[in-house]
Amino acid sequence: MTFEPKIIAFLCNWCSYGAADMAGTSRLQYPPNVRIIRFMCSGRIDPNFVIEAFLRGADGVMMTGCHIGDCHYIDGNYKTVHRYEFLKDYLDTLGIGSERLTLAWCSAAEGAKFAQTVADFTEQIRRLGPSPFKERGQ
Amino acid sequence: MMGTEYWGWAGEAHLREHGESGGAVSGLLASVLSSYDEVIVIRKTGTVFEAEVHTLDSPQGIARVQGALHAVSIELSHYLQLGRKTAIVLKPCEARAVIENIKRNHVRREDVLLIGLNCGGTLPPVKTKEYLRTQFGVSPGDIAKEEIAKGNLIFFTTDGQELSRSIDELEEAGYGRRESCRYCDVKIPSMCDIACGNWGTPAEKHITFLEVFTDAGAAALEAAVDGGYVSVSEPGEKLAAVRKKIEGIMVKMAKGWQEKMLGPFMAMEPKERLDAIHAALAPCIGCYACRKACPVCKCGDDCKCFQADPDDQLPISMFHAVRFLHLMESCVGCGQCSDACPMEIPLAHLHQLFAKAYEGRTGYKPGMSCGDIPPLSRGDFPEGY
Repeated sequence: MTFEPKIIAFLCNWCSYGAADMAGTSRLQYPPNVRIIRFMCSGRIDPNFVIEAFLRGADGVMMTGCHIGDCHYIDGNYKTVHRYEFLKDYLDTLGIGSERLTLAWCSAAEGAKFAQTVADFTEQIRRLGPSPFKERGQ
Repeated sequence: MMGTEYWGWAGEAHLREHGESGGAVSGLLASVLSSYDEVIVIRKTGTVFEAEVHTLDSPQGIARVQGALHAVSIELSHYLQLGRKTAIVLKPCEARAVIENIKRNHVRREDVLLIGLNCGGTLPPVKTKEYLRTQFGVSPGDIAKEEIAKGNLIFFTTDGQELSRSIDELEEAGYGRRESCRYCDVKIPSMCDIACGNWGTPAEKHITFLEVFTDAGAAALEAAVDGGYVSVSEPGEKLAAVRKKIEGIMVKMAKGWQEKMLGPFMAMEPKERLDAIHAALAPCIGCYACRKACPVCKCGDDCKCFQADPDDQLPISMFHAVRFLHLMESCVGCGQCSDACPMEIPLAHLHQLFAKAYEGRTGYKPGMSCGDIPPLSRGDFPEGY
C-alpha cells in the first residue's frame, strides 16, 4: 500500500478557515490528506495539541492563522509564532523533525494560497515518509 | 557600604567556632530573623548523609543548622510559601528553581531573601556510602565531616582520620558527584541576593567570601554588620581573582561533561534519538514521583501532563511528552527527578537534553533572572514574520 500522509491542520476561525471556505467555494482542488480542526484563534493552539497530534499518529501538523497585524484579537498570532519556534526545537530534539510542522498565514481572501500550502506540505510529508512514531505499531 | 565583595565571619565567638568557614552565613541568618518571618535551612540529623528541612523563627539553635551538605541534595525551594517573608539558603540549582517560581507568580521576589552558596556539586548518598565501605573500609556512620577542596573529595572520620581522593578519579570509576552536578555550569549563584562560599579565602583562616548582587542583599548584610552579627573586610585582591579562576575551571569541566554526556545523544540521527528516548522511558511505571520532586513543576493537579488518559497506548506517554515540553523552558538541571525515579530512568539527563538544545539556539537559560520571560509565555511582536 502506498503511503498517504495524515495531516492535522489547525485553522483559525477568522482568516484561515475563511481561506479554506474560499478554496471550497472557488472549486479549488487540494489533497484530501488534511484533517481540519477549527480554533477561534491560532493563539489558542496549545503546543500540547501539536504534540498529541503526533503521538496519535499524524505525519504532519499545520498551524495557520491570520497575517501578523490582521489578527482578530490583535496579537493572538504573536503567541502562535513564539510557540511555533519553540515547538520546532522540541520536535528536532525529540527526533520527529521540525520539517513535519509548518506555520502559514492565510487571509480569508487567500483561498488559492491555502490550497497551494496544503498541496506543498502534503508533498513535503510524502517525501519525508511516515512519522517515526507510527512505525511503533501502536 | 562600598564594593560588592567582602570577606566575612560571624561576630559571635561560638558561631565563628561552630559555623562552616567562620560562620558568616549563620551570623547573617541570625540577623535577618529580625526582618523576615522565618529562615529555611537544613539540619543534620545524624551522619553527613542525613538531614531534615528546618524552619527557624528565632536565633536559638542557629549553631546546629547547616547551609548545605554535599551528600544531601534536598530541594529547599519546595518549602517556600506565598506570602511569607522568608530567608532561605540555597545551592545554585535551588536558587534557579526559586527564580522560575517567581516568574510564574508562585513566589514573590520581594518576599524572599536568597542567600546562595557556591556549589561545586553534590554527592549521591547511596553510591558514596558504598564507596566508603568498599574503597576505604570505613563505615559511613563514622564520618564526621566531608569537604570538597582543590579537586579532592575529603572525608574526616570521628577518630581524626582524613580520607581523600581526586574527584576526577572517582568519577572515572563511576562514583563522585551526582550526574546532573557534573554538567551543571552554574557554580556561583549570581541570581541570589548574596552568594557565599569559601573559594577565594585564605585556607588557614575561617572566612567566607561574600558577594552581594542586589539592594536587598546589601541591606541585609549592612544590618548584620551594624548589629554585630557579621564582621566584614575587603577581600584580598589576589584571592578574589583565585575565586574567579576556580569558577572558571569548574565551568570548563562542566562544559566538558556536557559534551561527554549530552553530546552523543545530540549527534544521533533523529530517528535513533527517538528510539533512544523511547527505550529510556520504557521502564516507567507512571508513579509521577519525578513530577512531585520537580522544583519548577508547580501547575498542581490541573497540569496538562495529567490530562491524558494513562490507558492510551501512545509511543511516548503524554505525561513525559508534556513534561519534556514544559521543562524545555524551565529545567534547572537539579537532578531531583532522576533521584526520585524508582526505575532509575535518567530523567534529568533527558530533560537537560531538551533544555540545553533550546539554550544552545536561543541563549535562554532558565532561572538566571526574574526579568526573562519564559519562551512559551511570550507575546511580544515576532521579528521576521
